[in-house]
Amino acid sequence: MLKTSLPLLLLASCAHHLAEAGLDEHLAAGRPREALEQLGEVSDPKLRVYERALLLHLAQDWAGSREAFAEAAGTRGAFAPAAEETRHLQRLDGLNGAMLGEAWPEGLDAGSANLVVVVEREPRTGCPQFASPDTTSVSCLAPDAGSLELRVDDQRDQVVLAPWLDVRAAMTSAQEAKLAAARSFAAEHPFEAMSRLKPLELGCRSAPQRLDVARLTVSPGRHVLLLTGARRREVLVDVPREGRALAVLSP
Amino acid sequence: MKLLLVVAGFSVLSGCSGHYLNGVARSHELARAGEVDQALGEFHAVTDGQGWDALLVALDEGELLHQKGDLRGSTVALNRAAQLAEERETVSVSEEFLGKAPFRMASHEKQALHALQALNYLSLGELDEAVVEARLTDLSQEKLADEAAAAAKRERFLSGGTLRESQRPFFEQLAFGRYVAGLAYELRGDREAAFIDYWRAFELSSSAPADARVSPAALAPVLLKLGRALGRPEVAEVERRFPGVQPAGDAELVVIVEAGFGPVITATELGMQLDPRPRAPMPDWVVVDGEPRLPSPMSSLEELALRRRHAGVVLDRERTASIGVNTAMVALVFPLFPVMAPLAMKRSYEGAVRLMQSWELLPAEFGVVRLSLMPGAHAVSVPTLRGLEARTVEVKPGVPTVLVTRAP
Repeated sequence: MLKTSLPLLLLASCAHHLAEAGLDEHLAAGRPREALEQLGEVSDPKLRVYERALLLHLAQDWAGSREAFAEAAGTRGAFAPAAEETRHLQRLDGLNGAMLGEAWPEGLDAGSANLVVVVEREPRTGCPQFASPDTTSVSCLAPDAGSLELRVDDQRDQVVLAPWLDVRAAMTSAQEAKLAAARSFAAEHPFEAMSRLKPLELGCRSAPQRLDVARLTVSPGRHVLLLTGARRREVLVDVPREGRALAVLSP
Repeated sequence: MKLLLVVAGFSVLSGCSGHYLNGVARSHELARAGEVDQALGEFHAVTDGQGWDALLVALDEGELLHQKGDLRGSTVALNRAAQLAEERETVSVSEEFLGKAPFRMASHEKQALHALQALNYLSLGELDEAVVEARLTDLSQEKLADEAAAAAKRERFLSGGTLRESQRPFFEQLAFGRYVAGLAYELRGDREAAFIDYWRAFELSSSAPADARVSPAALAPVLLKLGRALGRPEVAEVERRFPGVQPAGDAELVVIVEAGFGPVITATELGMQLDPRPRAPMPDWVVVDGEPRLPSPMSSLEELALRRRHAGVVLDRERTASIGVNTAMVALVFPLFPVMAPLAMKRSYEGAVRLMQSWELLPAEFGVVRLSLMPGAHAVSVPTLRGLEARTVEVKPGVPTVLVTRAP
């Protein structure tokens, strides 16, 4: 019955849909440059610069991202990334450097291949949190990365992507350990618990949650990388006669 | 009360015109798989003499024949569609009130219709007819620009907000329509008119949001070539924004790539949902002399739809008079409940079905690969719904060689 009253409902529900989209909405739609315009939503100054660095990285502005990462390190703010997140942010900045012709980040070797493709899955990761001390488990707002397929040129067979980093799993595990410690503290010190066990801060929500890698051997020259799944992305990559090429893709 | 329910039920059911897209779903599926002959057979079996909406039928027939390469047949069907679309712009208040309002095309669909028609004529070598379509594109876009203030008022009335004015041209006017218009003039030798339309396409692309798929970069070389030859002042702006870009050469190849299909529209409990239609993992790029080239998206109808979501669908399809009737019905339904309730239900049902319809076979995206090449024969592989298709193309100095292809 509700469906039959669609037009009237539609007229009433248009308001939300012409409203300016927020940071999360732009991120979910794969629009990092427009998400940059909404960074005012992030109140902590340090976290805001990190988010800017990540959004520029997703927009493939490697130099801009590099600069923002350097700025973030020197910015004062309440945000303190967890150890896993710090390592992850460092690797992402390392990818910026690699795309700018610097050394490749640790753990990203080409082996005998001449083309390495890094696929950065959906952002909104690194956000495992618990809302209150009595939360029974760590809740993570990051949606699942979903299935992706990578192909080279017009080959029908897809390239096998191997997991490289799974920050979401690492951070969830770290947060679970913190939660366990918090519970144990609360059991021993019930009166202090309320003041000490405040909800955890969200981490960088723009960081890609999983990084997969493919190591390929292709003929030198120009190739097309086609990524399909939630969104279609195509990039051209030039593979040199000698040496190796790196491509970083985000859906 | 029982009588009221019977009247309302009868009223609703008598207005059930069915969902056109459900009826032709199999035909569309075949078309998307590249089985265009089978798709046409299925389409005629379902639609001939069945009383489906004549405009939707003409649009689909035009697109299917275009896809098949029966360009003459496509022009006939699309001309019929254009005429029907124009007739339906006259809003009959009685039809609206009684829930018999017809399907009306969104402005992007209308602009895409003229663009497709221009492509048909360009491929047939009928340049004068292509220029007529270019003029129709110009007229419809000028009208939209003139009505910007009224559009903003309508948006404010319906939703309390408006599009960003700096982005309005991008959301309302199809840059690809201007591009094809420019191409039509250029092929006919009217370089001044061609420059004006390419420049307009450049301006429209420039008003796009930061992450939009379209970019004005692909237009820079041709604007520099024509603009410098004509001594146009706009060249300085192109040079400022794209330093180091070389003007296009004398011998050019232009490949128009129509890729993907319209978004999936699903009715939900609180409105409608638009999702991108999954695309086959097949090439939509062009390979010229062994080197792959990605098309520069000139217009993405899918992106326009997904960015504006159902508010855009309502604003594009409902005319001001229709919105007036909706408002009057809402105002009258409580004071005159016994009379107005059945009418409101019928109109709601009819409106819901109408809003779910669309020209679903329209490409999701129009892209362009434009290359300056040495005059002579070149090996070109163009994307089709069945994979890359190799051709040998002769490129001559003077006017560009144009290819049009349908990618998955």
